Amino acid sequence: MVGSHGPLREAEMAVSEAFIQYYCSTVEDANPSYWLEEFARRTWGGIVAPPAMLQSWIIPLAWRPDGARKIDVLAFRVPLPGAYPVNVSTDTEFFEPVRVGDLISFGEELLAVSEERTTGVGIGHFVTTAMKFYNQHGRLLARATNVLFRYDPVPAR
Amino acid sequence: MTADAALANWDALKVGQVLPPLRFEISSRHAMMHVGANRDYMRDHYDLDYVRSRGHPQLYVNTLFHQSLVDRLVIDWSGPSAFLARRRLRMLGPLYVGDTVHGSGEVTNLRTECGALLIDVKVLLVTTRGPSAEAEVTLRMARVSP
Repeated sequence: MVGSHGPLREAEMAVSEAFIQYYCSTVEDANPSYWLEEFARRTWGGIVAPPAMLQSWIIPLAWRPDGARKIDVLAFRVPLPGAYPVNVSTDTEFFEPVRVGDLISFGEELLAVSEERTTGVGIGHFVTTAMKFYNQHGRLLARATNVLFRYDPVPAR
Repeated sequence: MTADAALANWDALKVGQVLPPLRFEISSRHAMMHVGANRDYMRDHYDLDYVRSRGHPQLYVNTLFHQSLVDRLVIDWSGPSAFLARRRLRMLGPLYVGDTVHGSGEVTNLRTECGALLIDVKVLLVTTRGPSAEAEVTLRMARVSP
């Protein structure tokens, strides 16, 4: 499966100022790029989203009238036993800001699967994926390499 | 907030410079709001009985929270005109509700590229249990005439 790609998926909703500011209030981020229209317009062309929100835009709603979309993560489609994920590392490069009104698309590629390993949390495999994020004009906004450990806990003896 | 403190002190920037520290107490309200804001409804982030059954003392926040604290520490220092060009983050431990996180940062490299200044900063987040994340962030700042 290494080298295989997940489907290109589009976010359910466009990037919005309300979601940006709600997110920023949770981590108490006062950066005027997220709050002040005048400053943001002068600096970025408009209100932008904080970099940490990148992955959140493509998470589907937990319920919707026509049935919730499944969260389809490539690292979980690899046929491995581990039922639990824990994030190990993320390396993200940003090429341009995510702006209000952007409709994000997202594609994944499986880069590597480790041999079975035992760590402090359990037994499993390190799964490395590459993610690319585009806006509605097909411009690459960011690219990330993520390593997660897919594991099952070691039963207590 | 002083806009663009790092830009204002461009000539004083140097490798080894220590950034102002960040302190954040994670309340259950922060954790609850954060789940709603990023829609990561993994049970570990909202179901206390469930996480306790898995051996955790409390709910823990997801990776985006670690990322946000790192980004805040760096951009709170540089000023809001800095563009976060790259963030390499390694998770070292969970951040639980009730934790007080201390963030520290240090400039590790300065270089110019196409007239823009690139600043590398190394960041560490720690709690009383030890390190919870380490990161290297690259900021890009355009030089503007005063």
